[in-house]
Amino acid sequence: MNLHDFGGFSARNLIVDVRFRSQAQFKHFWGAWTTSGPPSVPAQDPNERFLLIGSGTTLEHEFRHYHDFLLSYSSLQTYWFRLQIFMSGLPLVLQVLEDPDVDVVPFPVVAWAELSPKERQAYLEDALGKAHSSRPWSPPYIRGSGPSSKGTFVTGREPGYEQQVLHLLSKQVFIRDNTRRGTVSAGAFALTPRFLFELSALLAQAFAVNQTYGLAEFVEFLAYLSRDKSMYAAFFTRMLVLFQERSATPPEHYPLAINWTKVDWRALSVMATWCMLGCHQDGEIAYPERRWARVYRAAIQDFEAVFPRYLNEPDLLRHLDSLFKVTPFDEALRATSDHLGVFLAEGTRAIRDNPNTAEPHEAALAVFEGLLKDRRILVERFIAEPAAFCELPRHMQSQQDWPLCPVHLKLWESGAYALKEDLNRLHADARFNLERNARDEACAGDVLYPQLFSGGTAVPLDQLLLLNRLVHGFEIFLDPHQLNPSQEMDAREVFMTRYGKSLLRVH
Amino acid sequence: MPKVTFTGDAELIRALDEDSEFPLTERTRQNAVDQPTERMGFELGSVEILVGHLAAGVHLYFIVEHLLKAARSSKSPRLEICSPMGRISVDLAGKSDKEVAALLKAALPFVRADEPA
Repeated sequence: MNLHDFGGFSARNLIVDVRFRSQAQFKHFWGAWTTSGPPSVPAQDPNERFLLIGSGTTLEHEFRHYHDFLLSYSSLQTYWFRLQIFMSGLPLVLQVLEDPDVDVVPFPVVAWAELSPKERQAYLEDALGKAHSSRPWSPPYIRGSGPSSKGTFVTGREPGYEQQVLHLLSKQVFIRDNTRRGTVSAGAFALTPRFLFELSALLAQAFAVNQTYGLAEFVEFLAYLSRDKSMYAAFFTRMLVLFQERSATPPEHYPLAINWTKVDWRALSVMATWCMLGCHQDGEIAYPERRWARVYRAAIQDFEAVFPRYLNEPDLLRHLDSLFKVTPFDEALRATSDHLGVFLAEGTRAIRDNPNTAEPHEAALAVFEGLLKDRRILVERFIAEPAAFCELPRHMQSQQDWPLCPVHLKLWESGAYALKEDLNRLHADARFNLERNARDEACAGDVLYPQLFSGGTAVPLDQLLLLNRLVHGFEIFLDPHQLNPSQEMDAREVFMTRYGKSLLRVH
Repeated sequence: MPKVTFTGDAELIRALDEDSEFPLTERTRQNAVDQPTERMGFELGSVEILVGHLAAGVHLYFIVEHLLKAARSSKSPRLEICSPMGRISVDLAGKSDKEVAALLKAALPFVRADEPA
């Protein structure tokens, strides 16, 4: 666990995980949420203080991720493609795992299917040796021309089913990966959408620090991040400097000290939010990193023209829409919700007419339907009063008015513990895994809060948990880049034990 | 020969690449995309990947010896090693050759692993 790993909102499982490095850190987090007045920060060491202050404001940071996830077309589009890939790919993967004539399953399955028979043979000889006697899965070769599926799902198991599914998966994986990776290059690295999501969430967290702890801790938090060289903190600081200086700063002038009184927080917050408001009708500028790139290039040329000082939040949003010739934000948000609704309708129709569907498919549709309901609530509130979202102190003080995803406190892996009755004080619907301590009291290893405030979510929890288990279980075949090394090795062992298949990575 | 990737801090990867006795053939060095950088907790733009082929006849302890040598030139000697048959994450700091070898076996099950006499 690195220093900054307080957990996170996962756009893969739609739950906020909160992690702790120690019982002391958990106690601090708990105190910040259950007692009135600023929590005391007893540590002297800057790292220890940052750990405590960061921990006490993790939820605000992560809830902002959920809100941006709901606002952003590309996030929900990526999530839908992920569901679609799972729904299309799972029946095929299960068929391969149960095939008695296969004992090696190469993954990811699309990369394998895109190798020609000659390339596959060469790959197997390289990986397993020329004299290998294993029987690998041999799907139809799909690279280049082939029947490209026009629909979004393959239904039925007629001849050619496997080829149709693989073609469809290939198309969906291509779109998903491009959307997730982002398309803006910035020297040695690509600017992924995540940079914009972290910028927005760190802004929200900074104001949560101000509200929870006070001004001195707010300044301390910003100063700590400005010394931090990790990817997202460095980007955050660069943006603070831009909105402090109101002009581009040559690299030789770095590092610049952050003077919080000079930062144009209103403009910075509006920019971070505007990046999330893309519309599918606007082509490439629908995506957060593309929107940021346009704004950034214009702002370093003429900051005052892009961010005039006299405009309030909604007027500044409209000014950016007009300057960059995109669909006005209110129209964009509603049109995009409708467009995402078409995905759901198509999926529902295909699943209803498909004899091969099962519980996980229905769970996937129910979860996406819940997400779209959350989005519509958030969008209508946003349109009614953009300042309630963009004005950070107001957004912080009204968390209960916005949709909020479930929260999972991961106590067990940090050696922290808490009594069940204490944890119930935060919300009575909590789900626990319990053990008894020496005094025979019920203690929670982990606790899942379906909702912490009245906002809650329309995503059905049981369906979400079922879906997450299945998607994670089979992720290695369809999206192995999401797994860390130990998860990949665990998956290899499970599939060897359960199905007797060796997994072979194609890379 | 199986394709293998070594992902880690740029100093460590450069040291491996410049080690002419490191038994990785047809090697190329490239910048890592954001995902490994983020996963490994390094600074922006500081992670590189060395890709090449590793012969099945190579001895595990020979690889370990060169990894530990390269690790001495890096402040963050952490690596991810990925082959078609396995993938591991290893922190080389303060580890003996036996400890590193035990970890590497999972990612490189095809190399010779008998202990040196």
